[in-house]
Amino acid sequence: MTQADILIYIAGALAVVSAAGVVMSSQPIYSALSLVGNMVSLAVLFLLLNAQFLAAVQVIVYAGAVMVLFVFIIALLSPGREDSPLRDRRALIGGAAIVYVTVQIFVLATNGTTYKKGLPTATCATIREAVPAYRLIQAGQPASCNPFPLHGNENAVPIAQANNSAAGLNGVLFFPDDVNRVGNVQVTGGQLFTTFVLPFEITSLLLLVAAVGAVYLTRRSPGRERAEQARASRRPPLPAPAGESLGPGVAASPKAPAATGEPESA
Amino acid sequence: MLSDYAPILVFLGICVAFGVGVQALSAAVGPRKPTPEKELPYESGIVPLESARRRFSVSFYVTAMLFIIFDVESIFLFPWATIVRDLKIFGLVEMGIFIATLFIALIYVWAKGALRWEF
Amino acid sequence: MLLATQNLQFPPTRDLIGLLPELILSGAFVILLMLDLVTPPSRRSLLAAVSLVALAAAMGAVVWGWFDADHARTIYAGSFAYDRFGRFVDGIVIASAALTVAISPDYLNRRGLHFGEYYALILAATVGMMLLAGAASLIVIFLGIELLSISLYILSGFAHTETRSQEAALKYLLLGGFASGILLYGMALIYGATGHTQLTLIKQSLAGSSGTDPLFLVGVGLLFVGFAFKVSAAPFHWWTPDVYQGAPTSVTTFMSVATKVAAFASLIRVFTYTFADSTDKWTGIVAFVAIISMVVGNVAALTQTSLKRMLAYSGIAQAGYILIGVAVSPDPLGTVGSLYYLAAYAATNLGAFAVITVLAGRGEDLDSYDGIRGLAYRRPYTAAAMAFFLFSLGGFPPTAGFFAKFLVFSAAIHAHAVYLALWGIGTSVISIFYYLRVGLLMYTRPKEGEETYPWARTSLAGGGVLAASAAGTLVLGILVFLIYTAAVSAQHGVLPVPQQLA
Repeated sequence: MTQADILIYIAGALAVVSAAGVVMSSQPIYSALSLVGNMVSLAVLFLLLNAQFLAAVQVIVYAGAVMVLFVFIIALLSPGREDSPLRDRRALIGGAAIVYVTVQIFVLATNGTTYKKGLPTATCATIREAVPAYRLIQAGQPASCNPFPLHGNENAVPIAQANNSAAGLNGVLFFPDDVNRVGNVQVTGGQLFTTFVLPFEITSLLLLVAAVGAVYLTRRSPGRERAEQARASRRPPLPAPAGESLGPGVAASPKAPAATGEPESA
Repeated sequence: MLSDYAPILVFLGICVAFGVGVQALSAAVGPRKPTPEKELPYESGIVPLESARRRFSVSFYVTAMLFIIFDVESIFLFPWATIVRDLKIFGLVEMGIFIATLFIALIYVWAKGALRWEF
Repeated sequence: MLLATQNLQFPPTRDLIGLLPELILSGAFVILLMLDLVTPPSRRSLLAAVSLVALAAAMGAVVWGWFDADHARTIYAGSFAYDRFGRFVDGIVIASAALTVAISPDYLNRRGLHFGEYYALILAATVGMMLLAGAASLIVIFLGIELLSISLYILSGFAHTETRSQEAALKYLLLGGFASGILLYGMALIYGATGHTQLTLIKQSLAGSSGTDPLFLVGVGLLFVGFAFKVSAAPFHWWTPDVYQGAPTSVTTFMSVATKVAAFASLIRVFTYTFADSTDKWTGIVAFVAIISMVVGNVAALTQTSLKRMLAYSGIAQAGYILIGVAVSPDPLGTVGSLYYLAAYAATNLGAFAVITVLAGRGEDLDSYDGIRGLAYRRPYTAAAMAFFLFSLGGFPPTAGFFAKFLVFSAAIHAHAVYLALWGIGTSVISIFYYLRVGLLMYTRPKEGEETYPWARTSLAGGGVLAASAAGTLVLGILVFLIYTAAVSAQHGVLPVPQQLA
């Protein structure tokens, strides 16, 4: 076992333990904290798999931004202590069954026909032998080991054309050493703007729609206030229970009292 | 290659050791005479007015959501910036479209008043 | 300089042509968002007009693309398929979007929901569906599904004063998010097994293997579950009745038709054509889900007393019939049958939901069976249109539904899967009961002094949409060869590399 192998096992174990913590914690905030641990462990795994940029993104976006959202939502809903799911026997049995099936599948997969160990450190020749995806390169191309397989197009395009399918496909081979020689972020960027430029642009649309949704679904439109006032005028207003006033942002009361009274000391 | 990350590990170790050490030191050396006032949550020396477990305004959520959206945008800028010269005019145009789309999002969010802070 | 070793090859500019309809609609989406900010509330119908213009332009681009895409090719490094199959489905999706937009202003005004975001989101969802229909890469499939789903989550909760609409949005969001997770997991496993995200390359790398890699098979299974959720096939249909019922009816009109069409297009492209070499591994599951959908959908629809729920269950059953076309893979007749069925389903179901949308009054949505009692005596033309759509859904000649079912069942028989055809015919007989029940209610004379639902007056646009749907249903039922030839041609061009129709 090399250093990297040991670290993979440690990070993997941490990921599993923290993932279990997410579903088994009795308080939502502990679940959220376990999720942070899970995401950081995954970032370490990405790092060990030679995906430095992805590791950084994982920490910045998930452990950073997404977790902020989670914590805000927990604060927004302010849920109390939940029943521990462990006490529900059916949930326990169901969970155990899922774990069993998943483990079985992966054991089957590891012993299966294609997946083989030792990929990251293998030489280019063994990779070509081990992964069926690379077999197509062998079939159409003399199996010479390209020192810079980042010229992926040269390998893949002739085969694509030979098969009379669409030209211009990028079947790109990446060997870790070559990637690191050029720079991990640089290679990611290069791929993002060549092979994956369409998904990249769709992402911007997706983010725009998400922004519209976040604003639309949470804003208080004139129509909503009118409807709320109409509803409130039909039945007598409920006396607000002291001490546990609802946050006005989510309160189902008309806006007028919230806007005038109730100085909110945050 | 893995040894490149050794400083991070050392840094992590120092952080944990410092945190644990300070707590342990305070527990071991500091005098401890609890009174009801001292048991209250710390709120800048003022007696707490109400429970900390109250609902937050939905504005926090919108802000966090918008933060994620523009955070993801900045993530995409990073790999682009490292090879901006190689990408030439193509990269500039593609990134221009990307940023323009999200600029529209900013205009929309702004015009709808979602950035105005109201409780 | 080491950077030079990357040898970046940018997609050629001519690839933009393949995305022309999507680009037009994306542009319109952004423009609508901006226009909404400066349009006074009373003038919001203008936004509908702008969206209709954009949809018409996109339709023009699709029709032009149909002839241009004679020689199918993938664009953007294998991410997107520029083929007739995609154009065929795009045409259905755009037509559905246009008809939905046309009936929306009146409906939204009556419900007090007329906001500009509505049209922008409809267009965004349309773009997502078109991307999904043409997606030739797992990543684009996922992004297309997300784009359409997120838009529809928001649209389902568009009535943000109604608890039911909010409930629908939340249910759809939670279950949809879960399904997306399963779909993504399946994609990850397939990527792990084959090393590619582009469908053409996946197909090539599968050609050499036996297709029994457990990683790959589990990936295929999970992928199918994700798709089955999106097309609302049983047993992954639980969200459908609640979401269809809770969402504003115009949104349901759009989502029940267009989502299913786009998701089926992608399902066919991925399963029938990409996993073509291992059909024997997964057609059994597809056939099973098809049978379950037909039985569950039709039997559950019998007991409904809500129009929207009845149509939701009917949609689940229709998903089962369309799945037959996938289950008989690699028989190319199955794909042709499914494509024809999708076109017929779009015209018919859109019409049926459009009737409910057009009739919905100011208060509650028109939903209960009681609400249409005696419709024929007040709104004879609308009732006749509804009856016609119900006939088509039930599969009577000379309607679209008849030939759609005929083609799918004959594909099943052609592929020696007679049991699928028998299940289909058997469940179709059940379906006649609940379609007829609604039809008879419309023609039941209301008792003296009995109050009927305050049906809204059918506007010019509403009447036009009903007429267009009815015409589509009729054309698909009489001029069968028109669409059949198109479907065959679409099947011929489908990427990755199809089996030829004998």
